[in-house]
Amino acid sequence: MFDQILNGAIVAFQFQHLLLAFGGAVLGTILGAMPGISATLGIALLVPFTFDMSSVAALIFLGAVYCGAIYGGSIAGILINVPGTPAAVATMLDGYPMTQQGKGGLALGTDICSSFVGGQVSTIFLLFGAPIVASVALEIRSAEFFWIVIFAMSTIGAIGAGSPIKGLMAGILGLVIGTVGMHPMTGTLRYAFDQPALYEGVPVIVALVGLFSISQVLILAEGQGMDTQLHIPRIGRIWPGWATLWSLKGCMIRSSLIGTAVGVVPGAGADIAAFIGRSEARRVSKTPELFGKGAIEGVCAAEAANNGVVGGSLIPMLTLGIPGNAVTAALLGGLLIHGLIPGPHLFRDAPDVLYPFIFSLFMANAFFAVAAFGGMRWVAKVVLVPQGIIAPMVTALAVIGAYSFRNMVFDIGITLVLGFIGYALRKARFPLAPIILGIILGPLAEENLDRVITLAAAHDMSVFGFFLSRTLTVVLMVLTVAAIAYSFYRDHKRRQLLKEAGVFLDEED
Amino acid sequence: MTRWPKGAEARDAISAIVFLVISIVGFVAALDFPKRAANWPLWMWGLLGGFSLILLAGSLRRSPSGKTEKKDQATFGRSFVNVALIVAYAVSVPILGFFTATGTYAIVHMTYLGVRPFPLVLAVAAGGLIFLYFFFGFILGVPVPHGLLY
Repeated sequence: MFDQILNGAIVAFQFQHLLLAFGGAVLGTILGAMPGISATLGIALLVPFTFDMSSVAALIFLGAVYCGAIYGGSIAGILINVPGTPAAVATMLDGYPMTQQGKGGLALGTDICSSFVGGQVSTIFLLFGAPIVASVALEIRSAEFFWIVIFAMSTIGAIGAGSPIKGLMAGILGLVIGTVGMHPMTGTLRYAFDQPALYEGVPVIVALVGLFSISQVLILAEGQGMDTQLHIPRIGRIWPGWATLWSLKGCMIRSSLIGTAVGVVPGAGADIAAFIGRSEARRVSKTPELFGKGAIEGVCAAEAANNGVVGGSLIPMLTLGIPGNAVTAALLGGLLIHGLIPGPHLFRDAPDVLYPFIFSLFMANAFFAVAAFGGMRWVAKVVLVPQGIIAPMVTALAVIGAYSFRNMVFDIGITLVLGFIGYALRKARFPLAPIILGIILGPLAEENLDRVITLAAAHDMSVFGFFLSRTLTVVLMVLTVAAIAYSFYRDHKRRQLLKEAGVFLDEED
Repeated sequence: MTRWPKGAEARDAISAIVFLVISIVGFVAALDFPKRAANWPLWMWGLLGGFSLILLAGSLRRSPSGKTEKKDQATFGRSFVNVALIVAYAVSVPILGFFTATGTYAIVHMTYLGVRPFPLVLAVAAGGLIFLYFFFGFILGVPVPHGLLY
């Protein structure tokens, strides 16, 4: 393993890979800083353009964009009270009050350092933890894998969404879209409408671009296209100083670990991690009353946890092939177009791709920090780009991205249809991430279920009996039921609390 | 007698009905597949239909918030125009060619979204096209659809 790690480091430090990591980190930071452009959207837009790169180069670039975008999302929140990404909301709660108090520079500097530490800590866990998980995962058979997918879908559908039932419905919709095309066992065409372009199913990349880009364009285009009232206040000195950073060391490490742990859990993304990190920092703080009024620990905790998710979320994606959130689903699309099938065998089959990728995350974290400290005054201006300009540009990128994947105009149509469906679902408060995860995981689940059906028949058992005959499968089944039951219980309690507080569903949404 | 809900409950009820109808259509279509190919979609459509019924029942049972989504109603017309512009753009790409269609679409959509002054719109559209041409067409070598004009 250490030979592979060393080789990975050597490949990652090649000049062209350093350049790609730097470019990706800067581009990610800029995209993340634009209000309305999330890390998921950024990666969804860029994945199709990595098609002609080598798999190592593509992954290094996309990984760097991921790191940069997660960090960049906080800049707009701190400066103009508009979060660039959902995960930046927790940072904004204390970052913007600091800006109002004339301490915007301190908030931004703390934000950069905390993001850097969060990213590095989680990458260490990814580097040493993922191979161990992968070696254990090699023992997993079809029955277990099927239930891992079902468990992941149930937690993703239930944990990440406001309403568990809508989350689960979105996940099932994705699983259904995943059935489009030829059934691998029988060759039967399902829901292909005599369109050869659909014989191989709905391409993940095209679905990703449509669901996240076009729906976001329509959301952006709903509002005022140009707000002339926005301005960036004076931010002062950005470097927080060694003494400040030393005083925040505990907060940074704790939140980085929280972020890494949350990232591993399917469905719990950077936004949840940031809020948990912030709330934990508030619990242990000597001055909890300052939270929400410009507490520097609030910014530090939210950002370290936020970026800690990056490495954590890549562990289940690279070792089990299960993307824990929408961003890793988008990254998984990047792996798939380069012929890399994420799952237990990936670490065995492609260590020459994975280790350079993991090492490049260390560099990407360093690069966005250097670029942010060096160029914050220019990066900050990005937050003022009007949504009326962003929306048409994203449409153009989505169209060229969808087309370039297979050079088919039909794919532009799929992108648009899925984009409009995505927009309607967002308006009806359905989450989109479970859909894309369903599209990716659906064929895997069906393939493994088909194998189980064959095996059960060979053992003269019912499928359910076959599942019950395996301990790990039973554990996963129980966990799935527990996850769904818990999410409904939590939703019931939340509704009760809201009712008691006189808050209606619309206000809650 | 159950009254038709309002506000968020109406939104949930309508979504549930749409999902239910789609589930029934999908389920019926899956009945024509061979048994092995039909198993998974039948389960999925069945589950989707079941959850739709639960969502529908929940939205009918909940006390209505009494809120009408004024913002949604106001943005409906605007969204309709946005959708129409994007569809027109997508249709024009294979006819006019990617660059011509993109330039035209960007100018029209930015103007509709209220970006001012107009020279800024033209400058952004031109800058965007130059970026797309050189970065994607030239550096990355990404193929773009060509049409009558370019």
